[in-house]
Amino acid sequence: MWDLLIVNPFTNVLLFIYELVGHNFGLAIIIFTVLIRLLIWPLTAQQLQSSKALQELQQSKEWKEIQKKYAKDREKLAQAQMELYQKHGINPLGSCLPTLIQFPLIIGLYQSIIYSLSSTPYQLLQLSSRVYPSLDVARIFPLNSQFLWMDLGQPERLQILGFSIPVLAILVALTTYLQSKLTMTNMGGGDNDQAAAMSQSMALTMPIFLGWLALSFASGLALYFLVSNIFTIVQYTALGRADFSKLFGGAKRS
Amino acid sequence: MKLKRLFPLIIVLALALGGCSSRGQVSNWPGLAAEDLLYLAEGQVFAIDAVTHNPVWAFPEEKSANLLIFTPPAMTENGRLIVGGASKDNRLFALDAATGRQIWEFDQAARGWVAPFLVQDGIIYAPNGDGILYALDLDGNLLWTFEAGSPLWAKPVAAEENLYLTSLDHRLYALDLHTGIKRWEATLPAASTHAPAIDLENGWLYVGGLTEQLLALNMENGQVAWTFDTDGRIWQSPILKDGVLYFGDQTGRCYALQVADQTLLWQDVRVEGGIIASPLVLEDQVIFAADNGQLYAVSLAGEMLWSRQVEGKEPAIYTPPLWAAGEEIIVAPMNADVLLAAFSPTGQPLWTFASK
Repeated sequence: MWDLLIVNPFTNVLLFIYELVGHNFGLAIIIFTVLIRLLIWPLTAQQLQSSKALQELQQSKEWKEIQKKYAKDREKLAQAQMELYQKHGINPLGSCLPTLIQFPLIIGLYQSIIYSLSSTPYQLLQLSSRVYPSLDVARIFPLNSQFLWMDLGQPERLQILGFSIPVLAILVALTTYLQSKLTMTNMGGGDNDQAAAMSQSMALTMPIFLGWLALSFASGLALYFLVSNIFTIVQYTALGRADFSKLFGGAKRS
Repeated sequence: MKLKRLFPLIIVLALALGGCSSRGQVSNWPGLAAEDLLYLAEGQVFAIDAVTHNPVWAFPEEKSANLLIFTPPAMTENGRLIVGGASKDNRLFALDAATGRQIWEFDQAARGWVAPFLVQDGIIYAPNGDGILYALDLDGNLLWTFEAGSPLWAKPVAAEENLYLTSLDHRLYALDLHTGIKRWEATLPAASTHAPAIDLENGWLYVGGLTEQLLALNMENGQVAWTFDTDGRIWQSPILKDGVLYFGDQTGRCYALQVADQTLLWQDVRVEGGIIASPLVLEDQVIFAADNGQLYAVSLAGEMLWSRQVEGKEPAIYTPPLWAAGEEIIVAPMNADVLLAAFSPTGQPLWTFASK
């Protein structure tokens, strides 16, 4: 079911784009990433709206009052918070949805890249059974896995003066950090000291985590991370939600 | 709150990608060879006693995701077995065929070894996934290389002073056997994953590929002599015997083609499942292995004689069946309960090998 709904369509779209752009798999991944991000644009917009509403609520008098009132009873505090969410029509999970959606996309894309860049006859045989009849296997294969200095089926390293530099992994870590900082939600009031600390911690752990993925897995996946990060930064900037003042000063407190 | 929830999700993603990486791990159908011992390359290389069917040695001793070997082990004149890694560790190894002890290694290739090796007259011809054919002497010294435009998955074959090699770049190359200098190249309609069959009598090479066509090419210049349309793709080498070319295609159709006049001797012989492996041509029958895990015996007249199922979860046979000890048909299935299964020429099960 996973293959039928995610991996096979992803693989075919990737191959279709690959053929369209003159057998350039790197370009195919970039276009595919942009398409995916455009597809989940409404969800991202909803996330921004949810996080803004959540932020406003957390800075409201009502919120601060219940924080004070139930400071020693976490169960009652949670119940009161839920009531407030309901009263203001806020879904606290709404801001997580785009993140949740990304996970199967990342896994599906990774599998599609690995399947597409078959490195043995058996893998090619498996791939040929996934390709829709509208794509001509005889014409497409073998796929050109080279993009700039990268082999998209292998972890990326650039040889500079005899050193192997993981340029893509570094760029992924950097842009993830930038993205985390620029899009960090302002926190205020009550237990938000903890949330702000968590936010700071995430801004450091996510770049390390995604950088590690980019370092260890096929560079096609790292290319997806990089393009996706750049897209998010541009998207937040275009929507006026990117706060460049946070880049060097940490999260701004209200 | 939102951020707290992300931590378990990150863990899930890490685990899922970890799972994907093993799922996306290099895999291929097993390589099989018979000498004094039977050799099976199924991630590890197993040497198996041909009489007791017990394992004699394994290389590496424990299976490792970093060093996965699938190429059929090739025996040299001086008793060494040549094998190559297809995954992260892509070294080529010469092993002592009797003990499995490593004698030397060659580490200059950039990709994994997928194609079977040719060993002839003291030279190891080793095609690599990096698109380079490496010619080594029996001590592992590099003699020369030939660079094709794409990964090499097919075994080179030699005839007279030429070496013939297909590549995924839709080409068939003819090289000087001793220097690797290109003599000619022919363009094929699609990528080919197998060695051409050589017909010295007619001076033709027969090759299929990822298209529904078999080609006969002139050995002297690579010109297409004639073509034959098939129902499906031909994944592995056709077998020529007594002027008849035997092969199967991915739709499950079996062919016996008289090459002199391109007459199809069998009108519509089909098996259930697709045929990926080269057939095994015996004196009086042809054995076809299918991707449904079945073995089919067809008489030279085109009559289905018998079929046998290899048991397993989703058994499939992609490796060409092997004729060993003058009396056994040996198959190396994938996703089966056993790694090897042996049958008599009448289809009786003889023995199996299931690792540990």
